Amino acid sequence: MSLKSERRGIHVDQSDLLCKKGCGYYGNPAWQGFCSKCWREEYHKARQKQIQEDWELAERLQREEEEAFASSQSSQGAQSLTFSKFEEKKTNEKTRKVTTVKKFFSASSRVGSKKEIQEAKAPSPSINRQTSIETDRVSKEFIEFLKTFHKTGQEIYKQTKLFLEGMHYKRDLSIEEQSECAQDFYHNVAERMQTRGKVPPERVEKIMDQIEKYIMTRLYKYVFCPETTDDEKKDLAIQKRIRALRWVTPQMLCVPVNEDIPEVSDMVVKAITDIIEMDSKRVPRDKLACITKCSKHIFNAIKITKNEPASADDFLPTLIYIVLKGNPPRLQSNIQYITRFCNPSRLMTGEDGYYFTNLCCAVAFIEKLDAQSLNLSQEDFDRYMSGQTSPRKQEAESWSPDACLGVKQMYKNLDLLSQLNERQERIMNEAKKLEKDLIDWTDGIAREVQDIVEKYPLEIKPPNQPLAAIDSENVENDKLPPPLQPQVYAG
Amino acid sequence: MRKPDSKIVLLGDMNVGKTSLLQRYMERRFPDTVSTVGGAFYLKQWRSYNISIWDTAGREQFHGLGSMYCRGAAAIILTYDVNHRQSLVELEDRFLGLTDTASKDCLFAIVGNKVDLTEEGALAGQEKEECSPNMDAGDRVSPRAPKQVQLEDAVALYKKILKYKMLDEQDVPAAEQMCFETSAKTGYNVDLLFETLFDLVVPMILQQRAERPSHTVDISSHKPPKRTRSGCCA
Repeated sequence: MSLKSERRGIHVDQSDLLCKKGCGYYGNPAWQGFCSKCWREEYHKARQKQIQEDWELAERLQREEEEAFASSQSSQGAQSLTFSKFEEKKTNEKTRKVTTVKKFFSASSRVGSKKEIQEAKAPSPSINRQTSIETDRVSKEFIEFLKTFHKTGQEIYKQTKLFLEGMHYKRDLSIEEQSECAQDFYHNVAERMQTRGKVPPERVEKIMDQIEKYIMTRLYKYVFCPETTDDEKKDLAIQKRIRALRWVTPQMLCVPVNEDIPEVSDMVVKAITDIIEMDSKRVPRDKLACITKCSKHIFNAIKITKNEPASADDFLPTLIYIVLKGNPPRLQSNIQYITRFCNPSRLMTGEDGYYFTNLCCAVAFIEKLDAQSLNLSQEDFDRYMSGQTSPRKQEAESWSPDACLGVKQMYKNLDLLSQLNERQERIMNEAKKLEKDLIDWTDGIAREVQDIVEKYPLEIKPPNQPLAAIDSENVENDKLPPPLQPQVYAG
Repeated sequence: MRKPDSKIVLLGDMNVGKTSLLQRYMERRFPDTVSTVGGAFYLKQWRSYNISIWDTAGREQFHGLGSMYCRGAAAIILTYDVNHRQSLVELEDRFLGLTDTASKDCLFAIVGNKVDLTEEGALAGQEKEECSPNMDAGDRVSPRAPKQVQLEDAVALYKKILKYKMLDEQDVPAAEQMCFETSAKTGYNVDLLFETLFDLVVPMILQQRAERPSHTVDISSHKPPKRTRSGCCA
């Protein structure tokens, strides 16, 4: 080993100088040990190989790109799959909900089976549980009531049950069609009781009231303010309208109610409470009862004020005033619900129907209300509607003692704002006056100075000629005597 | 409260005395049954039927709302003041159109109120003096003006209404029978007005009841009766 290394350092074998390819010619280090010919061949081969590699690289990149695109497609497919799963999940959820409702309804219809009711209650939300309790109570009351009529009661119960099952399948009908079904049902049951059951009219009336209570408690959730109608829109419109008319005073409507009397004020408050309470009832008859109670309080208030029975010319404007003051919730929905599902004989001719008709008139009047209706000029009406002015401002001194604190505070705030506005205007006027005074003063001063300048003009003499320096050359030689010449004396 | 079988609606301008007319009748004939609360709705039992009487607001700003009151009415009383011709003109101009919602066979009565304020009414008042011994003496002394609306004018309006409703005079009561001049203050002709209407309305109730079965189809009679027992009825 050492010998071999020594030999290399000392002596270079001739074979090392030859071309690596073994062609016999001498190689050159610049050509990496190849001769020029072999180097050219080798270089061409390498270039060809490079081209081949480049091509393969391009092909691989293309394939990768295609794979990326395919992967993107696959990703979209995955998203589509996800959405499909989501849809399936939603469908399952919907189906489960429908099943729950059906189960609840089915369980609820079997009143005697308490265990199943318990099972139905457990998975249901609290709202359903509350509904179930109320429905259960009404159902029990209905059954107890019908027991007193024996065979006729059984027949009525059967018919009522059939009707409710029919209504369940008619839920997709329009609300008007459902209303017709209910009216037909009322009519048929009353007819059959009078003709075949020979039930006296008073008992027919009681039975009809119980039937209405039972079926409308069960149907309320589906037929009150249904999504298929524009009842909700009308509710919001009338509520907004009434809110815009808060400024209407009893005098504008010729309301013959003096709220300064404590008993009258109490009646007004009770009437407002009753009209608002209407929305909390479910049975049309109960809603009508609220309207009737409200109306009776109004009649009492008028009677106390005028000391004589009230006429319709007194009652209707007062009812309008109560509606404007109370702004009852879901007013149109309640009116529509009563019109659609109440026992029609009660609505057409009875006392409840009279008061209900007046309420419909009041609402119609409020919707069409204009300046002429209140004996106002159009300008005043527009200003009141836009909130620019409040007619109560002039009557601040004559506030009713029953006016609520909020209203009093509001009017006090309005007065404060008015005073602040006046004070602001006064300050602005003073500021403008001060500005004007300043301008006037400046102008006055300028004018005075101008006057003085004009009155005493200042004449400034031109500067005197500077005295000539003694040593400077004298310009005016002609005035001076000639210079003395030295005299030479001979001597 | 009993459910009414039929309804009568009072229409007329403000201050013609609709409410006084109604209250006069109810208080005079049945003082015990008058409601102490309302003066605009009354329920009257006539023979074995219940008839409701509805007062309405006649003020001009509530014009147009009256059609709701007339829905399904069996009879309508159109009231005017014999001392104000304009109140009769208003009946034709403003109130006649509101009656379209009433029953197709609705009855109409034309009533001229406040005849006690006229010369002719004074004579009628004297005739009634025996029945009303408590009437104030001052009323007879005060001078009375001739009334502006004659009974013939009311008859003419009644015939116009028949033409407006396209009714044959043979099918409805005669005009002379349905035009009244009353005084709510003295009670003159008030009972006659209402009781005439009640007598005419009762046959309509009977007719409606007789017609009802023929219009009804008993669907459940076609269904086979169910023999299954319900647990709750056991």
